Amino acid sequence: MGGLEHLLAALSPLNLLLALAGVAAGTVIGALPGLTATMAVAVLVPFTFSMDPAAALIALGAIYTGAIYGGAYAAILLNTPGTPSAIATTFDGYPMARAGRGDLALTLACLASVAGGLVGAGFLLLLAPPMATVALKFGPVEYFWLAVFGLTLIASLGEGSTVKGLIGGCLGLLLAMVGVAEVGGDIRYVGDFKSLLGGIDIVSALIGLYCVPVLIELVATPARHLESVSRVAGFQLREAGALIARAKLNLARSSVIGTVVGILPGAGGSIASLVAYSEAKRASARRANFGKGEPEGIVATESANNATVGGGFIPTLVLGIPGTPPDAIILGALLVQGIRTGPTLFTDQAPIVYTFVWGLILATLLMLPVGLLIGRFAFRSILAIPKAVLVPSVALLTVLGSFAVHNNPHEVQQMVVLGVAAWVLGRMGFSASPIVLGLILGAIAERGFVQGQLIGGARGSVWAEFFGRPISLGIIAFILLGLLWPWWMARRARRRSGAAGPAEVGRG
Amino acid sequence: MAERDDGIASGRDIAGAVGSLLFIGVGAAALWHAGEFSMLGAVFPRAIGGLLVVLGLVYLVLVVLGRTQPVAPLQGSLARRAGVALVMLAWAWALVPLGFLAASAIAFVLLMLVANHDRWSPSRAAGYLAAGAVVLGGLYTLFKLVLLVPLP
Repeated sequence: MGGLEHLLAALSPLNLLLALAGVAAGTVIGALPGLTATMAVAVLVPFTFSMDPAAALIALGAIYTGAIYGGAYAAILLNTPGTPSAIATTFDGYPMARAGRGDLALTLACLASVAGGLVGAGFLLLLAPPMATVALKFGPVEYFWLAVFGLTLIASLGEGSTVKGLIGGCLGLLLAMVGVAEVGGDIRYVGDFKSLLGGIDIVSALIGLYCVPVLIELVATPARHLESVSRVAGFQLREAGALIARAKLNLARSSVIGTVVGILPGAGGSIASLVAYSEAKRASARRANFGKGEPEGIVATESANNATVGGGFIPTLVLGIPGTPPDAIILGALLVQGIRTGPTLFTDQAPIVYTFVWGLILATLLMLPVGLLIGRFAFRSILAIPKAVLVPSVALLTVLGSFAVHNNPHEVQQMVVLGVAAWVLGRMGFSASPIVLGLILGAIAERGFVQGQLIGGARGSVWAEFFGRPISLGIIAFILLGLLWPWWMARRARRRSGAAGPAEVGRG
Repeated sequence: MAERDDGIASGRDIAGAVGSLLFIGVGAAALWHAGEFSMLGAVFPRAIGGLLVVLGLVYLVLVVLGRTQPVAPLQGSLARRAGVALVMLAWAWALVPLGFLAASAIAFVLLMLVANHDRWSPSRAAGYLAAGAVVLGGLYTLFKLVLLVPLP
């Protein structure tokens, strides 16, 4: 167990400085659309090679946690997730900013991120070895059901027609199939465009689908981009604190979801935040407000995605299996430092590991002042910049961000084409979020489905493979709960109201 | 299109119907091409392509039955919207032939012209151009020289 001596080691001036600098750098990089947490860690990892192992780990953990949080800025202020982990933050963050509550949304995101990060780091400190074994019980079928669980969010996004949402989700799933198939190796839906062989890059697609339609709409009228309720609104810590206190159950549940999903190799912050959002909406009495600027939505997504940081370190350190892509880079840095990960790491090299975990907790706490200050500056800047400068500046960021992922100009073209298509589809009532969900979850769902079929076929029963495993059944129960709960609650509310209302235009 | 008492437009969603027809076509094409894939590679494309066709048909039926909401009409300038889309498309395809700096500088100025709704004055133009130079120069320096991204 991490004792006082490790906490004191983490509190050394150098470690504190590294944590502060790491959080600030990570936050700024994560805030730029296209620059993911993975890229933030990858770009800055060489600077840690000359440091001692614990200090290097603290710096990398701080960069990672800062970048995950930084993604919320662009999500809230520009409707563009700075990192894929912040996708679900756009659902309620941007509507809040449009309604003049951008500063409150940013403060909420900061508080929720800190809370989620602390829960994830707490699990890492106290329960790492037993929890890592849970991750090993997830097979392809469990990943398939987890992806289906994420896809059920389409039905509960509440943006107009459910059928249109499902159509958008199918389009996203088809887009995820473009390129060389992971299972079978077929070249699918590439046509004569060789640049599509590698598939559609998720980060570029995210930037295009979310950001380009906003840019196109921004120029249409002279109205301001965002409004501010009050010029002297400040951090709104008291109001944000009250909202967090009201949403404490949501905060705890989302943080645990984030930690658990973070433990699963390959799942990551985007799935964690989507699952947490779906569960928060299902459980909330104000579920009708979700997607329209509901603070609880931000609390769920931001606590969940930051909890994946600590959660992801659990299989990384205990099993040597990276929980998330940035963990894979950090694992590489650990090997450079001569540290061998594995179950004995927490005993053989306890000083390094526990100093790092305490350093991660300190970095998460430092995110509070750093995040609040940067958030306030970002909000005021976006408010003050005239559209004639804001639009080309954001457009420049989208071009740079989509290029920088793989240094590939074709991905810039993909980004713009998808963005313009998203605007056209938006005019037909098809929103971007279901397409993004399908695109992100498509590969996981297909891989799990096909591998599950193969394994089930070899074992003699595909049916038993998909419906006979306890973890799968648990996830299926949550899927059914997520789909049926809103319908059942609405039905109960209608019965309680006693009288049938006037004929409604169907939701389609 | 009529306006209901609650302010929500009601009527047939013609744009959505056009979109559904488009998606039925996309789904059918996905199904068609799935015939060229191996058995493993065709499972998901067939399932999703078929689902897309079915969902498109369901939405068309809903439109015919009048159980849909039309999308709110466009407000503001369509020409400016088209301007942003065209500039960004041209920008994406000009990155390699013109180089990042030249293509971005031209696109930046064009987008500035499209996005500005105020009266142009020499001081405003100079201020915006200076801000553009700082943003472009700063981001170019960050990506090219600090992050070592090999911009074209």
